[in-house]
Amino acid sequence: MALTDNPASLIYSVTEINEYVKHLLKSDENLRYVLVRGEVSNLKVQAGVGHHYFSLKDEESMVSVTLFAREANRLDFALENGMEVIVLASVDLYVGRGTYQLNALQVEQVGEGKALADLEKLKQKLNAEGLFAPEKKRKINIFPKRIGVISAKGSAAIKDITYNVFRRYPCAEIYFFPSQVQGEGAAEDLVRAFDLSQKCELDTLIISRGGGASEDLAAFNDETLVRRVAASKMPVISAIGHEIDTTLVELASDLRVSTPTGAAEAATIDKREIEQSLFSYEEEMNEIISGKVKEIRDRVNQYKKDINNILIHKLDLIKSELNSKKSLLESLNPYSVLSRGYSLTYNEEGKVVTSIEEVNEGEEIKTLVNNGEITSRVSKKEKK
Amino acid sequence: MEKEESLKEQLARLDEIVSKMSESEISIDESLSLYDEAKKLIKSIEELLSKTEENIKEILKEEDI
Repeated sequence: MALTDNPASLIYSVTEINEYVKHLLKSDENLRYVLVRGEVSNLKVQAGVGHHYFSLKDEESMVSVTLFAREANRLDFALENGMEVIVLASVDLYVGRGTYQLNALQVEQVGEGKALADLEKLKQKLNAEGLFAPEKKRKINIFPKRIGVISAKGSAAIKDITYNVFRRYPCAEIYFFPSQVQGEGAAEDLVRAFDLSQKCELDTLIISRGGGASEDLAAFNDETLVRRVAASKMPVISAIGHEIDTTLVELASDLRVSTPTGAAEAATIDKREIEQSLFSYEEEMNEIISGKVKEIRDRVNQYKKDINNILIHKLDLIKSELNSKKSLLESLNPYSVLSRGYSLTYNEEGKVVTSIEEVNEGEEIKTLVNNGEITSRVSKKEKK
Repeated sequence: MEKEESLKEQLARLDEIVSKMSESEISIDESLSLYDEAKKLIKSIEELLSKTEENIKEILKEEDI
């Protein structure tokens, strides 16, 4: 029998068959809201309106998904090809084209993508609370009495830190709080170690993980630990050691360095620097004192010169005064008349004779002439 | 022994003597004796100056400090 021989009532139109299948789908309770997981591909976004159309696929199959603008706007991430997602959808059939599709109400990322997205969300949240604010960061005291270290027991990190702290600043004490730093339970252990550290009077706390190829930094993104670090009583230096991914603990720390050695260096002054400073202070003091001593010496020597000059000058003045007095005296010299033939006569009493009353006859008299003395006796005196 | 008079005192006395000798009323006795005194004074002053100069030279001969 030919297909066309069937009665009309048995022959569906396209619309009818599509409607029928749609009805079937819609009446199945199980298909009202289903969760489907797959990879996003062939993503098309309707410009302007914002409806998303994509395929969800696994290794063998694919299904069309529609995500209307209203639901799409509620997503806190941007949908991209290649993402692994879980959608909450209702199963539907588009009668006009006879295409079966999922109408997505909600989409979430899974796997690695989800973890990253969650981490980013946490980062934004904590940042908004101000936990990573630059103003919060404290300066590190480089003359510490006590340094705390949270790290794995026996790790290269604790060894490097200890070695370098003792090398640079041997008077610092190191308080070690060993803890797991990766794997199951690491975050809790770190929190425990951290709480212990807060009970001690430390100048600085170093949280460090180093060596080992493991990429498991999950513990250092743990919210509880990050909040603890942000509220630490003392400044925290983190040396988690990964340049590419900055963990939240590092963001919350007062200082972030890349190696345990770097942490030791940031936490202490090198004693050689102290020695150098002392040496240069000593030199400076010596110079200053030498300078002052020289200054005084020079002044005293100058005074000596000045005194010398003054004294010599005074002496010269006296000498010249004396010379002029000598000249004057010579001009008044009473003995000068003797060279002209005048003489001075002295009587026995030694007085100069200026009149005949001053001698008696027979008295011995002395006559002073230019070159000597004549002794004679008065034989006669006669008034003029 | 007579106490050595200061340079100042001796110079003053010399001055005095020369003034006195310049006066014309002075007797010959006095002028002779004043002259003798003046000569002695000059000798003494010159000795004192000489000694002082020596002293200064001694002190300043020392090395700069």
